[in-house]
Amino acid sequence: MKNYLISLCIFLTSCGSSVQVGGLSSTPAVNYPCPTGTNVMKVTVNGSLCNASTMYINMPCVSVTICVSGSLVNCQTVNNILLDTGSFGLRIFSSVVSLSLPNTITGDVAECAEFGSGRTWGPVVQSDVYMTGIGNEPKATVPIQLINSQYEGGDSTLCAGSYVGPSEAGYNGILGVGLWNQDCGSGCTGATPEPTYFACNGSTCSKTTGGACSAAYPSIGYCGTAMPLTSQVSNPIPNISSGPDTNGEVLLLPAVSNGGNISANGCMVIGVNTATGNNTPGAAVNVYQANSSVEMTIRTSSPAVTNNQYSFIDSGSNAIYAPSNLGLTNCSGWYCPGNLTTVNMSLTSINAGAVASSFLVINANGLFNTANNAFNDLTGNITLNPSTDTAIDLGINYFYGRPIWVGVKNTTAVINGITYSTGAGNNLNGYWAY
Amino acid sequence: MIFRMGRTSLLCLCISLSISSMAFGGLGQSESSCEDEAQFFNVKSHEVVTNEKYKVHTLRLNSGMVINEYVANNIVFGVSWRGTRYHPQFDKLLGVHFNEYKAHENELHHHKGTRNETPNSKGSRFSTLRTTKIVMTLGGHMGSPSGSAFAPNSMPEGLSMDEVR
Repeated sequence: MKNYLISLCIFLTSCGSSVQVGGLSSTPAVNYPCPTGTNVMKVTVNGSLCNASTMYINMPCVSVTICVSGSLVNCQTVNNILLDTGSFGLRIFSSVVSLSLPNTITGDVAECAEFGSGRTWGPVVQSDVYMTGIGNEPKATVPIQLINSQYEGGDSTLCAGSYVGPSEAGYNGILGVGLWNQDCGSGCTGATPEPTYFACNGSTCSKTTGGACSAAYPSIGYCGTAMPLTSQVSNPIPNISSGPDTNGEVLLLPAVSNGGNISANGCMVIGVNTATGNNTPGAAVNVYQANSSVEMTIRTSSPAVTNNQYSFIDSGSNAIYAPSNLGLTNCSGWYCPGNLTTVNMSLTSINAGAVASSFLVINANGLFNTANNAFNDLTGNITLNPSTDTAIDLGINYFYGRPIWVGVKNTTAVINGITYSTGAGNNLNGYWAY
Repeated sequence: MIFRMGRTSLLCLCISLSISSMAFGGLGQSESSCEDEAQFFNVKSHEVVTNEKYKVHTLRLNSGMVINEYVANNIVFGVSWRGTRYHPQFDKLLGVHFNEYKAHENELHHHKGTRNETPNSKGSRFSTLRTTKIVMTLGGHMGSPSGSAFAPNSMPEGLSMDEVR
């Protein structure tokens, strides 16, 4: 009995210290005991690296330093950058960049980058990127996008509806550290390039129409401009100039209380099994190799059986998003079950059979009626593609209290004693591991 | 019941070129427009599955894009698409409701929602436009966007969007 009383007291002191913010209650910040090292990047979910006046809920923010290539002086550090394992490459709104960054060797080229529903328009420029500050992890010299919806004639022809600025988007930029190196790849290098990059002439940017382009892309009707891989917007991690850390990263975030915390702070450690801070645990982790669309299959078994062939893990999604037939009460796009509910699921990737996992769902309206921002139990409801095969988007919630390693495709790492590399044929598309 | 149709013949291609400037397919058009679209898109295959309440025309393009068109009462009441790294040109799929999309384009692409507004909350990969004429959702992730659009007024009686699979 004594033991029970003690544990109850601990529970009350650790979880019950609610404070009032603007008339709404909040639960204090939680922090992950991050390792130290030159490859450790601080991540704050709705914490000090986010802009409190523009941030949205469940938003992981980092700080990135960019320099004019080769310079250690013409540099700028930008906070409030979204950490996004679901995209590839660094993009920053041009309105917050004071440096003068040159075009890539391919010249004046703008990109329309598609993020599912949002899109970004603006020029591709060359930059040195320091993810953990100058003097720590070596630089990555990569093309980045300067987001500017007004660039050379504006977005209306080739990228209508693109993001306008940080106050609308919520962030100053996006650091894409997903499973690919370039954001397009070989599809944008050939004779009929995908409609992604567009050459500009100082006043307008143009598409290529007719002939082979109409035939190649009849659903959109035009090609883009051929962009060599080295000129495409690229994930900084596989492009780090020296050292072993080019094969991926692990995101370390603390467990979050049911009902949320005001913020959640942790880190991204660069590299997979290259240093003390990014080693996979002694107990074997599961490795989930993505398919060529950076997806895998997630089936739910309760409360309802659903089959979701186009699923993915993505720190840049601010909740878990699941299809509308999950068997839970839906309140205007969010799920709002009467009680905290566990959704049981299994994940099947191209290399592995079904592995069991789960996530939590609680009444979203209750969560919104607090001053908390980091939620482990917020789930959105999507009716996206009405077919028997749909998607579950395991967003930032899924990272709380669960270190997840991201392996970049065509790189090499040893996990559980197995070498993952393109040569071994088992890292063609990248992987998640946890 | 499944029909399979092969690549278009030259004759069909000529016909499709002659009408390609018209808003010939997509929402609100007759069922025959699905075949017109299949020809215009030069599809690899065009399958039709008949369910109890509606038919699904599935168009598979050489690019890898898959387009579904949902038909009842000889009217296309819904479309969905998946595959490739970009969305299709919406004028080719939204038919008579393309202007409705254009009028609300920024609402759909820009996530201006506040804390509790969904599905347009900032940070979501998914966004839905709801008007009396069109319910359109975009989503997915970089490398694999997809979407759907329905015309509520053309839905067959007794069928809800959640039932369409």
